[in-house]
Amino acid sequence: MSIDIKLYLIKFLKGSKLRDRFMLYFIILSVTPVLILGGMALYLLDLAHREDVSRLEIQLIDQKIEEIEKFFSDTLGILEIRVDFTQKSFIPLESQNFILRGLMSENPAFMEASFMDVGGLIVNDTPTIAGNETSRISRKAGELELITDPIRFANFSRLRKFSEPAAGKNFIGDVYYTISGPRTTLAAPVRNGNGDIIQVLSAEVKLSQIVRSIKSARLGTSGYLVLIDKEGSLISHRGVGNIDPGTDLLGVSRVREVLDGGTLDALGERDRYLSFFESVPVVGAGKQIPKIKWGVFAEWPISDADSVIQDIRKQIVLLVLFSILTVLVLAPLFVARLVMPIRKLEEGVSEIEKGKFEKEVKIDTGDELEDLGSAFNKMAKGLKRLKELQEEFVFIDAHDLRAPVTVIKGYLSMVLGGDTGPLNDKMKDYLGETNRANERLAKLVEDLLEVARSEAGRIEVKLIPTDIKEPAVETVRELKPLADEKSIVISYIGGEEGLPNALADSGRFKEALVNLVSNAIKYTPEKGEVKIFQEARGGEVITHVKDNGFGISKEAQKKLFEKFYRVQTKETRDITGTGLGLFIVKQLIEKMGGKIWFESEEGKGSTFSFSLKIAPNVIESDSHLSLRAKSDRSRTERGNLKT
Amino acid sequence: MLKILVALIFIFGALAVIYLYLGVPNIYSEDYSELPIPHAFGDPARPIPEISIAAFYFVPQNKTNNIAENWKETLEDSLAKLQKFHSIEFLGRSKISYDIYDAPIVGLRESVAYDTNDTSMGNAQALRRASEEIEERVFDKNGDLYIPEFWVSKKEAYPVFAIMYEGVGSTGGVIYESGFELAGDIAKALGLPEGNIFIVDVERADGFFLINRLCLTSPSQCESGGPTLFAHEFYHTIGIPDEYEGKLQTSSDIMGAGRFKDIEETYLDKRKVKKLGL
Repeated sequence: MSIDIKLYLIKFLKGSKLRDRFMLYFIILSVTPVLILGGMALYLLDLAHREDVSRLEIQLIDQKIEEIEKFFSDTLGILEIRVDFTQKSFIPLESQNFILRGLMSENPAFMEASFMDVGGLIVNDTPTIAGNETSRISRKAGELELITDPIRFANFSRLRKFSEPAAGKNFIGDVYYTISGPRTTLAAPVRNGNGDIIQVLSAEVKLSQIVRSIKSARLGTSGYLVLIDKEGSLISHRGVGNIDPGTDLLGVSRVREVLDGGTLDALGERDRYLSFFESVPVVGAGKQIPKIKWGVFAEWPISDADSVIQDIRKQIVLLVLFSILTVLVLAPLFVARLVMPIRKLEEGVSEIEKGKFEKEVKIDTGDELEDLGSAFNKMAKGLKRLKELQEEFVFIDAHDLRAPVTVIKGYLSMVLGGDTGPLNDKMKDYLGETNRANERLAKLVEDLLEVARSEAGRIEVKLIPTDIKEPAVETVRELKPLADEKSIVISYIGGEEGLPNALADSGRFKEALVNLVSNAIKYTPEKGEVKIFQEARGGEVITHVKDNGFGISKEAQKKLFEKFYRVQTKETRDITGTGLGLFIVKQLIEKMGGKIWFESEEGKGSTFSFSLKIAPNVIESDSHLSLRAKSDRSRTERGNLKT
Repeated sequence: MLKILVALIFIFGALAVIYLYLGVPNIYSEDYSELPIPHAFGDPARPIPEISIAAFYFVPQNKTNNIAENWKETLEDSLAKLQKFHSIEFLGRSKISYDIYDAPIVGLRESVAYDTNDTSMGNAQALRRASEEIEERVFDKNGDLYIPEFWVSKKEAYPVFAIMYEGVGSTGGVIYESGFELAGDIAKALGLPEGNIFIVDVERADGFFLINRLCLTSPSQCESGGPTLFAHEFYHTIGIPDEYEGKLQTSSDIMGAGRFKDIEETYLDKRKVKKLGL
C-alpha cells in the first residue's frame, strides 16, 4: 500500500467534523427518497397484487356459482312437468313410466326418479294416498330398473321431498354421501293444464358434475376451490388435506360467515390464514350461492399466489440496497471533493501560522472555492511582504540602536574609569545604575538583532567537527562569578571519556550554552546548584544543564520557547530578562541540526538538554571543510545561502 | 462519524423493516377444534372410533341341508361393503374390522327352538338364542367350538356379533348392562317400548345383529336385502332405530327408504350423523 493511500486512509478514519456533516447530509438526502420510494413501491405493489388475487378468486367463485345455479336450475326445470290435460288426475302409469325412462335416459346425473301421489284424487274408484309412490325407476350398474310392483312402493308423505313440492315449491334436499359420490334429492310439482298440482316428481341426482367442476378449478398452480353445503358439510375440494367429504365445517368461522350470507373478498385482515385443509398459509375468499345457500370458497396458498410478487419484492429491495450502497460508496468521494479545497485552505492557514508564506494553495474546482483559494494566496503574499517589512524594520532599528548604545557604553566606561576626573560616591551610584541599564538595553538590542537574523535566515553557523567539552568548561569558568553572587555551586562534571566531536559551530554552541547556564543561575535560588554534563548517545552528543531551581509549571512549559515569553511567578517576578533567550537558543541548536528539550518539575528544578550530531569520522577535526547547514526557503530565494 | 454510524443503522434498520413488514401478510390462525370422535347413537358414553365384528354363519340343526356353499364369500362381501360404507358415512373417523368364524356353527337345536313365532320384529329371539349359544360354544374355553386365536380384537374397539342366520328374520340391537331383571323395568328406564327389550346373556359383545342368509345370497327374495340390509341391521347395533312404519318412510336413508337401494347409493342422513357425534 502506497504511503499516499495510507495517509488518505488515516485522514479518512481520523475524519473531520465538516466531512462527517457533509457525508451525513449527503447520505440522508440521497437515501431517504430511495427508502421512501422503495417502501411505497412495495406497498403499492402489494396493494395491487392483493386486489388482483381477490379479483381472480372472486371471478372463479362467481363462475362456479353460476355453473352450480345453472345445474340446479336446469335439473329442476326438467322435473317441473306440466301436462296438457286439465282434469285433476295423475298421469297414466304408462305415461309416468315413459316419462321416467326418458328422464333417466336423457340425464345421466339422475340415479333414481319417482312419481308420488298428492292424494285427494279418485283413480279407478280408489282414493289416492298422499305421498305414495306411483312409479319409480332406478339406475343400477348402468341399467335402468323400472319398479312397477306396488308392494315395493313406499310412502313419503312425511318427508320434505314430498311435502314441499306438494305445496307448490321446488325442493332441493341436503347433500348426502354415498360410496359412489355425493347426491342430493330434487323434487318438483307436476301440474296439469290449469296449473293444478297433480303429482310430485322427485329424483336422486348425483353431483359428480359439480364435484368435477370444483375439483378442476385452478388458481395458479396450487389454488383450489371448496364447496360446502348449507349445513356446513364439505361437498368437494381439491386440497391435499385428509378431510373427507361430509366433514362438518361449521366450526370454522369463515364457513359460518359465508353460510350466513357474508362475502369474503380476500382483502380482509383475516383473509390470509392457515388453511383448515392443508395447514399452510392461504389467501382465501368465499361467497354464498344465493339460491341454495351453499358456500363456495377459494383458497390459494400464499407461496404460490405471491410467488411473482415475491420475486419483484426481492428485486425492489435489492435495488434499494444497491442504491444505498452506491450512495455510501460515492458519499466519501463526493464529500472529499467538497472538503478537499477547505482542507487545502486549512493547511495553508497552518503554514502561515508557522510563518511560512511561500506555499500556495491550489484549488481547481472552477467555482467560488477556487476564487477563495486565489484570494487566500494573495493574502498570503501580502502577509509575507508585511512580515518581511516588519523584520527589516526590527533589524534596521536594532542595528541603528546598537551604535548609540555602544557609544553610551564607551563613554560611561570612560567616565566611570575616571577619565573625566574623580567621581563622588553619589555620581558613581547614579552612573553605575545608568551603565547597568545600558547593558540591559544593549543585551536587548543584541537579542533583537539575533532574532531578526534568525527570522530572516541570516544566522550563520559554520558546522565543523568541534570538541564541545572545551566551550562547556569555559562557560562554567566565565559564569562562576555570577553564580558566586548567589552562592550557587556551578560545576562541569564532565562526561564519558573520549566524548566524540560534535558537528557544531563552536561560538554558537557556547552562545547557546551560556544562555542556558545563565538562565539556570538566574532561576535557581541562593545556595543552589547548577551542573553541566555531556554524553554521547545514538549518534548524538548531548549536553545537559541541570539545576535544582524553581522549576517550571506545566502551563509555562508549553510556551517556554516562544518569543518574549517569561515565566511569571512570585520567585521570578524580580528577575530581569528579554524573554528571547530560549527562543534564540532553540534557533541556534536547530540551525546546527540539533534538537533541544527539557524536563522540569515545579519546586525541584529543571534539566535543559540539547543534542548535536556526532561529527563523521571522515572529517578530520582540524579540517577546514565546512558543512552546509540546512537552509530554509527564504534564504534560498534570496541567494544568501552561506552558513 | 458516530452520527453517520447511527444514520447507517437507521437506514439499514428501515430497509429491514420495509422488507420484513411492508407487503408481508399477517397470517391469521384460527384454533380449529379437534375433529370429534363418533359414538353410539345418542350415547356419547359409548365411543366407536373402532368397531370389531365377529361374524358367524349360524345354522339350526335341522337346516344343515340348506347350508349355502358361498356363505363365506357372501358374508365377506357384505362385511367389506359395510366397512366401506361405514368409512364414508363416518368420515373415516370410525373404522370397522371383522373376523369371520371359519365354519358354519351348527346349532344344538332345531330352528323352532330358536325362532320366535312372530317375525314381524325381525326374529329377535333367534338373535338372542343364537348369540348366547355362540358365546358359550365359541368363546368359552370349555366350548366345543372354542378357538383361542379367533377374534382377538382390540380392547377399546366396540364389539359386535354379526350372525348370518339360516332361517327367517333380520334384526339387531345394542346390548346394555342392566341392574334390572325384568324387561318392563329396563324399558321404563330406557324410555323404550317393552317389546323392544330382550334379556340376553352375552358378555363378549356390546351389539349384535342377525340377518336371514337368504336375504344376502338371494336379495330379490326379501323386501330388501344384500349388503344394504346387512348394513341396516348392523346400524341397530350402535343404537340407530328404524325410520319406517310399514310403507310410511320417515327417512330416505339406509334406516328408512334407503334400505331398498344398493349400498353404493344409500347413506346415513345428517340428523343421525350428528347424533353419532359427527
